Amino acid sequence: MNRTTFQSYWVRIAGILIILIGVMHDISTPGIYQRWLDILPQNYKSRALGMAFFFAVAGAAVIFAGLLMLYASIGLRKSEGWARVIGLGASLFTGLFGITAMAVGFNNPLVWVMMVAAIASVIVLLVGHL
Amino acid sequence: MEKRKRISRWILIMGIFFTLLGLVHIAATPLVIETELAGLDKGIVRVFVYMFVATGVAVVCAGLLVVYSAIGMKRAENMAWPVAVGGGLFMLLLGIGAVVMMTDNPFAYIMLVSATAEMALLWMYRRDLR
Repeated sequence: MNRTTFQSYWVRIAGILIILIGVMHDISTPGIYQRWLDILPQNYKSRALGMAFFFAVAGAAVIFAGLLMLYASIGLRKSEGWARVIGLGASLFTGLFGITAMAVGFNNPLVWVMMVAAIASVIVLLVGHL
Repeated sequence: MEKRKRISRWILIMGIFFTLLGLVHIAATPLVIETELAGLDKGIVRVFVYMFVATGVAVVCAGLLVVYSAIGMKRAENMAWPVAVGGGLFMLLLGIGAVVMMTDNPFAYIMLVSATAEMALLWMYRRDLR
């Protein structure tokens, strides 16, 4: 397997993983909304819907980044410059998203998987460019 | 040729506008903490701020993606149009969700209108831009 094929496969697999994690994130939104309704004080309960909205948007952003990685993997196979930029951008976004999630306190194994997959893609794309 | 360049310039302006919108969203974070979350438990505030800022960063990234694809469309690159549609769809979904969730927020309407305009341009001139 040559370098460009390896990069393409790697980014594709990472993209699929990230999409799945984003979908799981969004599927859990109603449960998160219910939990916020339970824990928020009475005069703040109206904020729960807005919080759930931003939670769902974060999941949608992860799905979108994963889709971009999938799309970039097609161009990576042909060593196209745009694919490297898009793949690197989407991987960096997801990696930073994972790192900040850990910093905020989301010690969820799925966050770990997302972060590791994204950072590995960044490394593969950067090293492959040398 | 000229038509493609002209439309690409409009898409570029849209992308810059989305980026600025995302920056305004992030800049509004302290105000949101002060007005909407004052008195809440620090742990809840931290999670909400994380999701709020992540949404802003996602909007900035989507804007930059549209800018990048506008440059590609100007050069008649094949990859540019699908990427611009992806960025536009993300912004459109975000705009619809924002209008449904925050009916009193003018930025939600601005986002919806600008994303709809971008998608309309991309659809109407798809033969010139692809």
